This record gives sequence, structure tokens and C-alpha cells, in this order.
Amino acid sequence: MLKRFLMTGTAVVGMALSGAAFADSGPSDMQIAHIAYTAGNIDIRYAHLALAKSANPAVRDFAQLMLQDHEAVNDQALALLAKLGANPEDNPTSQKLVSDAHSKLDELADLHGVNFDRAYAANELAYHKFVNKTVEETFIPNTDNREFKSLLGEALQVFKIHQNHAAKMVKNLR
Amino acid sequence: MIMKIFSLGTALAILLVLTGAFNTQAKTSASQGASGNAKTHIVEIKGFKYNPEVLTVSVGDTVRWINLDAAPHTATAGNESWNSGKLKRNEEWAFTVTETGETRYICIYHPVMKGTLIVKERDQ
Repeated sequence: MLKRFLMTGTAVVGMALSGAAFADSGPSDMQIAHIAYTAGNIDIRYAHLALAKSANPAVRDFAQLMLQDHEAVNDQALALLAKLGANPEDNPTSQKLVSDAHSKLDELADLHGVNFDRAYAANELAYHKFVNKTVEETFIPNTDNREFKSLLGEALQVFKIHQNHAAKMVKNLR
Repeated sequence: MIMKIFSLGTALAILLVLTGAFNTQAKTSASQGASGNAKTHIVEIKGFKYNPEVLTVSVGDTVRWINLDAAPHTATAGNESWNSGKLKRNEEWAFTVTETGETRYICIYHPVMKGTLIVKERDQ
């Protein structure tokens, strides 16, 4: 299931890269902003679910960290957009991410105990790998605005720390 | 179109980037504290690192941590004798050291971040 989710997300980003999901040659800054913000919100939702279901201190600490860091990055993104007087633009990639996340949340919600912890940890690792690769290889190179590009770079730095943290969590839960 | 939308922010962005790029060295400034020669030392938190990672100060000096990262951080002593609490971007916290010794500290949210504060007797 994880693999399916990752493959689905990869296919979506592939569409964005090829321009198939957008009117022009690729995602605009405002579409990238919407996708990035949506991706952050999805991980926040995963974190809320983990805090509701897990009793494992390491899992709960990680989920709390995801809430804190993704909310901080998203708040700064909104502040930048407000300063620039720009609005994120909804798009098929964002909508697909949300749709896939709903399926994943349903899947995780049916799990309990260590099975939930392992699935949540594995999903966090896969999700951060997917998002980080997309931000690094697609979003940052295709972003025009310097401030927005800079914020994406900082966000990537945060999310890579999360990816490493998730990898350790997966290993410790085996 | 996007470039037009963002044009107003571009100049400021460049300024911010340049400021950040050339603002990575730790700073120490003299202050007129009660102890006469006391100084204020600045530790910048940027890129999930404390800069400098190792700081040597004298008793009576003040150390100020400033978070320049997008993520919140802390500067928390390993023995928990001091703790900045959560520092969001551009927030700072300072304290005046009163005892000699070497203290290793971390960010409690991102423990991969490590720093060391060394406090020596003040030269007379």
C-alpha cells in the first residue's frame, strides 16, 4: 500500500513535470506553493492521527515535531504570500495528493498498537522521501521568485531532517 | 506574470539572502555590565547548526542565541541547567553565565543539533 501511494504521488508529479496536468509548460509558482502547502498539511493530518492512536513515546514525539515544524513552515509560506499579495492556486496535483492522503489516513486508522506505529513510521519515511525529491528536483528549479525559492530551500532542509528522523524511527520499530 | 507579481519582493529577497549569507559568523560585542568587562556573545542558529558550535566565554558574559531557521529550535543544556524554550524564526534568548565549566547543549526538537558552551574565570 505504501508503495502504491508513493507510486501514485510520483506519477502525479511526473504529470506536473511534463505539463500534462497544467495549462502551460509546467507548474507556476502559485501552483507549486499550493502543492507544497498541501503536502505540509497532509503530514500535519498524519501527525494528528498518530497522536490520537499511538502510545509509543518515540512515535508521539515525532508526530509532535511534525506538527510544530510543518505548521511553522506553512505559516511562513502564508506570511510570504501575504506580503507578496499572491494567492496559491489549486491544481490537479494538490487535489490528487489530498485524495491519496485520505486513502492512507483511512488505512492507518484501521491499524492499532505496534502495527499502527510501524505503518505510520514507514509512511512518514516514504512521504518525506517523495516530497523531498519533488521539492529538490522539481519545485526549486522551477520556481521564479527568489524569496519563495529561498523558503523552499529552507523547508527542504527541515524535511530532510525529518526524513532522517523517520528512518531511525522505522529501524527502531522493527 | 508571476515575475510581475513577485517583482516588489525581489529586491528585499536579495537583500535578505545577502544579509544571511554574510551574517554567519558569531559576533561578540562589548557591553557595559555590572562586571565591567562583560561581553555579549551571539550564537546564530541556522541550517540546523549552532554557529559557533563551540563558544568560550567568561563568567559574567551574556550569551544570546538567535534562531534564523524556518523550524523552531531550542538551546537546552544537557544537564537542563538552562533552557531557551521554543525559539521561532528570528526569536532570541539570552542568559548571563555565572559558573565556570563546560556544558554541552542540544535542540530538544532536533537532537542532531549539538553545541558546547565553555565558561572560564574572567581574566583580572
